[in-house]
Amino acid sequence: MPEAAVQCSNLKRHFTRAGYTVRAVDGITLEVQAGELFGVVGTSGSGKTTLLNLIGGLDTPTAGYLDVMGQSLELLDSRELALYRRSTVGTIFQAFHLLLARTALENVELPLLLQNVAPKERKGLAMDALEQVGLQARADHRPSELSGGEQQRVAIARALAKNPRLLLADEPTGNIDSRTSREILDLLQGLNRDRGLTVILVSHDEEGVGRIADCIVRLEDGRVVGEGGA
Amino acid sequence: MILRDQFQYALSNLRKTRLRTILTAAGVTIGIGAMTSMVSVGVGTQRNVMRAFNEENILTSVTVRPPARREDAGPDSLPVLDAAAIERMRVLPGARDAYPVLTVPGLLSIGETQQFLSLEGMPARVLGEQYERGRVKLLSGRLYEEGEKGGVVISTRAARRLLPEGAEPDTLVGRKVSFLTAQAPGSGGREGEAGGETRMLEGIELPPVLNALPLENLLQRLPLGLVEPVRLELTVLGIVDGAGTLTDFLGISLYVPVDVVEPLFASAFRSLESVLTGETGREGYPLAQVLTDDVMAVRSVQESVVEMGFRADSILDQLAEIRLGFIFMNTFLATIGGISLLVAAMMIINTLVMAVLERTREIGLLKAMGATDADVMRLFLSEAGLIGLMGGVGGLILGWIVAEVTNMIANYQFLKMGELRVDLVAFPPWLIMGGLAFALIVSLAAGFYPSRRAARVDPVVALRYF
Repeated sequence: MPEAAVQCSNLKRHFTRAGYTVRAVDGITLEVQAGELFGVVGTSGSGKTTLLNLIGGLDTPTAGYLDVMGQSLELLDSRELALYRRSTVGTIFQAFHLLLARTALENVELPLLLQNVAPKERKGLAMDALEQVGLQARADHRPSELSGGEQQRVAIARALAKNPRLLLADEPTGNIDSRTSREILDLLQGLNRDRGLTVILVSHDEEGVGRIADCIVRLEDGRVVGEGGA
Repeated sequence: MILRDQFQYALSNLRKTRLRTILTAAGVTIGIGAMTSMVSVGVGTQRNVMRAFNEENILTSVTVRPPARREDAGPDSLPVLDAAAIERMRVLPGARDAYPVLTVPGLLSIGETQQFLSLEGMPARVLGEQYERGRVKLLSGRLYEEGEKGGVVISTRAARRLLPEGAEPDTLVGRKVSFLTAQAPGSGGREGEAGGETRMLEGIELPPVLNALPLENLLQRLPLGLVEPVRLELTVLGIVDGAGTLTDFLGISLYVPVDVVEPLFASAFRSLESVLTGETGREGYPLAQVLTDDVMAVRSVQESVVEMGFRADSILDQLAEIRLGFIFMNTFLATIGGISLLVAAMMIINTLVMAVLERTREIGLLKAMGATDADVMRLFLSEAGLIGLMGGVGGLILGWIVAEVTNMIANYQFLKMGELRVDLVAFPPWLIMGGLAFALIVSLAAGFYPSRRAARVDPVVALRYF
């Protein structure tokens, strides 16, 4: 029986704006197994990113229970959440969020800087991560000198460099063309299969996610409206 | 994040906005430069004054004045500060010498040149002792000896005032100078030495002495008929440096043995008030100086003099006040310079607030990767600190340049006026370290608000909307 990497029960995240309550996540219960590639699909505003932010420790739930890799996130304070993000989670964003003034290598080194890894070791780990995404030859290039797909690969390398136990991908193919999207999704699938890395992939591209995910849940208005194996 | 990485990261961020960083650091440079240059002048002045104290017997001397007159006490009940009293002070335990301090102002003439200067009575033994201790430097000629009359020793500064520009002071040695002063009528003044016919001023006959002087001269403004002229013919024996006395901090006097100046002093006026009241110094000396073996003996000698019924002051009484005064002066100067540093602090706040706004996405990303609020705060404080350090180093260089230029300009003027060169500025190590530390502290304080603002950035908002 595989161990659960993520467990949440009746998880809620409500926002109040100008007297109006937005129920971004409204009572989600789910379980992601360790080593699983778990897809979360849904339309825009369905609560996918908010759910990912909660699992990634960027946001805190309004109510409910959330356990990631044995840590109850709802009990952690902001500093403990930061340390959790530093040590446990790697995140990939739709907009890549690379620092434009830094090279690909320097971008990949960033999370290692926060982990106080020594400069020489840091460079080695960053180069390894770039090699895993096939970009070791572009290490000294700045993001502006890379294509969209390459930038997303650098972002993946950055997430992988610190060897996370959980990889969160928020619409990783949202800003790239379909051919490159396929390559990125294949890369994520490879990481999941080859390294046994637990991946939670959020996307509105149900077909793309369905192609690689072990399990999918569909969200609508902050609730799970459907789930199933690929 | 380890400290080295933190500074490298901060430095690389500052490099990205090079012009803005340079301009902000320039603000700190100007602030620290203004502050350190001003303080260096204050410190230089303090150093010069304290050096003068050390060099001129001031730390090991007690100043004695006659007792204050009280309405309920008759004049006979008060001790008189006369030669006998001074002799008693000379043999007090811990005292090594005592002498009256006698200063007579007057007009010194040499050839066509006339200058208002003071004749200082200084015992030959005291002048000789100062020479032996190296406090007085004999530049030319010789000092007068005990019992020798008719000779005068002139300080370099006084000599320069008497000579045309560029002339060497030692050319005065051996020359005759004439010292003209005034005394009360009937004191034996040698009327007529100034010579010439009688002149009238607003219908009043001028005393002959005033005939020798230009009409705008100060002596002519004294109440007419109340003064008599006295003239001394003296030979310049030597030129000295550093013989400043209690009443002559600037060292621009002429030094003669006490017994030369004493008869003049006894009948001389000491103030305009004394001219009007006709009071002269006939009832003892107004001031005397007791020199002690060392600083430790000053207090006991001072107490003994007070027990004799006189008023006694030593520099120990005023030293604390003088130091306090200099602290106040330096603080005041630093505050004036600090105003520009305040402007620089505002520039740092502005620069970093802009940086926080521009780099909100980066801050969000760092937080998403696991940076704590403290990590983010430290990064921005490092940037503020680096700006402060760069500005501080620049400010010290600027301050040094400004201070040295000021020193050069001032000394150029001094030399033109015939004065000696004086180092007006001082850059002690504490000023350098203090300037740097202050630049750093002000920058960190200025960086605190933007850093806290950066630390409070919500990563979810930062990554979604920036």
